[in-house]
Amino acid sequence: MGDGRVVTLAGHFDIHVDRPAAELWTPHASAYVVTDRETPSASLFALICDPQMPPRIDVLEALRGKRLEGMLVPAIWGIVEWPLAARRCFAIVYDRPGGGPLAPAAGGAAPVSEDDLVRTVLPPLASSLGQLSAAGATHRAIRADNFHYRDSARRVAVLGDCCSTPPGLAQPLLYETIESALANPWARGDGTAADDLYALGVSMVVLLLGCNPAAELPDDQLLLEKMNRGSYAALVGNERLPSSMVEPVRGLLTDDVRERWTVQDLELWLHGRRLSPKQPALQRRATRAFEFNGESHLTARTLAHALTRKPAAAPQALRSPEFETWLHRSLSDPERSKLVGSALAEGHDVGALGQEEVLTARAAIALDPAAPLRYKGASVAIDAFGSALAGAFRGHLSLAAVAEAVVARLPVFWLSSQSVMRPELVPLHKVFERMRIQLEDRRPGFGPERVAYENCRTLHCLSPLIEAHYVLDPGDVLRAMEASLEQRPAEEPQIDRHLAGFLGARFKLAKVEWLDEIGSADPGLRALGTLKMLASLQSASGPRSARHTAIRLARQLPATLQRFHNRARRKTLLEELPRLAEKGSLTELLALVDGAAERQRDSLGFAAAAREWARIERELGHLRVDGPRRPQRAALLGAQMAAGAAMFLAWAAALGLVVTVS
Amino acid sequence: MASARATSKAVGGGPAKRSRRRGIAFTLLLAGFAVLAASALPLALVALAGLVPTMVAALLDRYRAKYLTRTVGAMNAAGIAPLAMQLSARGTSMTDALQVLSSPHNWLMMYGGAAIGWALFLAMPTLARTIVDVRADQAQRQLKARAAELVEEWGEEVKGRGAPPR
Repeated sequence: MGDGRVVTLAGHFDIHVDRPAAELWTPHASAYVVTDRETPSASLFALICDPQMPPRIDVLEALRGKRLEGMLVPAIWGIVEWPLAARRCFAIVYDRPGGGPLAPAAGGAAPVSEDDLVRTVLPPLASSLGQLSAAGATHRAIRADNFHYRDSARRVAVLGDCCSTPPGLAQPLLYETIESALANPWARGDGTAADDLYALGVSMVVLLLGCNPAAELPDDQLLLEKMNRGSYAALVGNERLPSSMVEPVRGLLTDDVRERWTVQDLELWLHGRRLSPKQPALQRRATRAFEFNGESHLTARTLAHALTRKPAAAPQALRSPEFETWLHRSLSDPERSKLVGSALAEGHDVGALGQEEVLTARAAIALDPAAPLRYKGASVAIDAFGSALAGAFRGHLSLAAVAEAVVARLPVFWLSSQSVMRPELVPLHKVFERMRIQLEDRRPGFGPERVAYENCRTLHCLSPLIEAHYVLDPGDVLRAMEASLEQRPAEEPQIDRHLAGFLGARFKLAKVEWLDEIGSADPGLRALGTLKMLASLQSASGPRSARHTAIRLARQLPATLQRFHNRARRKTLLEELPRLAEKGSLTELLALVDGAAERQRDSLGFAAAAREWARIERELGHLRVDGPRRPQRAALLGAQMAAGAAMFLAWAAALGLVVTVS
Repeated sequence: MASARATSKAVGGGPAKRSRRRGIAFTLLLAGFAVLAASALPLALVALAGLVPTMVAALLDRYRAKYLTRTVGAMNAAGIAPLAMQLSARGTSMTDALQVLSSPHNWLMMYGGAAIGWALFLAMPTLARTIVDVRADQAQRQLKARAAELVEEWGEEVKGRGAPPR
């Protein structure tokens, strides 16, 4: 099987490049067999993540060292040089489940019996979800095709990977709550344990039926069905579930998060508690439908959804007297009416942003406060702006829409619209204010790039020069740049907006002045800012020699030397540059072109020279002014000389006479 | 020349003080001449005749410091001095004085001295002009050379009109 190529992670986990584990592949990660040199008997596999997807390192950290019976727990993770992609990729190593999947993604699986579900799937899973929730993490990848049997005897089922993609990204719409389904897959957010339990409810339905009951419905239609009829009715419909399973499925598929079953409810049910199945609580319905764009809407949620899908027609409808009448009389929800009134009356101070789109977004929030934020086609959960920007940079969302939503203070309005504020949302006010300030700042090192790297800590640097090196830590930037430049002789080292944003967000020693210099139109200043940043990286994290970077940066530095006035000093420094660049020490290079003592000497010398020049100018001016007066002065001087000479001659004659006579 | 004289500097004090000094000097000169006339009239006669160029110079002199008078007077006095000594040695009779005054050679000596003084006064400004011009040119050349050195060493911006330091 292949030529036995291996990639080693953490010194002793050998990932076998030529031994894929096809049954463990996920929609965005490929699986390969792993051998642990320290424990050769261990059965392991590695997921090689799609480099486009920021992994969930916070969840990996939360799972570290845990013993979860119903969930795969990562053994190790890190970045590897992946030959099949000819780049570096993020890899996660798990214990390999040996019993195969419960329900293959391709379909064709037999229904899982009620007994198997209650004995082999739910007990370990409920316990693991409880522990995961206690660790402050969510799974967000619970779906029927992500269950595996841990052992070949198929006694225990485990949930597969949940860390190789942003939360919920790989989930089909079927498995997502209405709120989460409304969001773009890149912007579903970590959510809460309630989202996992909803997905578990859907998974139970799919496993019990052996198929997706809504497979025929397009996603949009399924979402509308969920909103209009409730999730349980939309998914189960006329299908027959085992009667004993109706209660947990109803409980887990309840759309009102406050009434949805918790892990404790599930565990109590597994331990024998039986209650009457709950009837799903549907959204408040209006007594009369509101007509918008040819469709009738009885709930605020469906109307909000329709408004955001047809934003061009929305403002006119929102300002119409019919809407006001419907809101006050037909919907009869005073709290909602008040919120909509506030949404329409305020929020006009959005500068150059589209007033109408902001109005529509605010109205949608007021009509459906639990839904994600929807603006110009981007639909983002409140805790997913970092991930949304990461997706936007990959072309999965509109970058402008996500950024404008924050600048228009829509998240702040969303937070103020919540009737119940979850504790984890409280700090978001400050986070969004900081985001807004940074988004409005167009300098390199700020803007959407900075916000993305600050709020999506697992997004690697997307600067084209080093993207393939999967740099997550600023300490690796220079090594990656050096390696890239070695392979690309024509490339010049430069800090583009992505790298500037990345360093601004994650390199604590980065100074705003350097970022300003990097953004300067002056090539000399730009090169100097780049050198300062890279030299600081080198002194903080190495490598000791960055020869390729130094040599190519040295080519840009002659412009920097223009800062020195003294021509002889410039020449000397210019001659010194290539020698120092060969050594690869950026710090020495920086000391040469920006040494404080040398600059001060130059500056003082220049000031003295400028003073001397001014004095010469003055003296030459005096000489010029003195020109016409010179004959007068010469005449006076001549007269004085004549008088002096005459007196001298007269005295000499008198003396001669006296001597002759005597 | 007239304007040059007008701008020449006076030595010491204000105009009133200067005028008073000149008056005192003139009075002393007259007193001295009166004493000389009283004690040695022939000598005074020779001096009076011989110093006519100096008197003319004094009348024409526009310099406050009286450079023309000093120049002509000094050389004039140098021309008279041998004759005055000759006359003193012979005795100071009017006959001797007339004898001195009747000799063209003596007139040549007295007035020749004055002429030399006058010539000196006329020649010296030209020489002085040459010296002043040479010195000014030399200073200008040195300043320009130093300015060029500064530009070569520090660039055009040293003039203060170039690109500001970055």
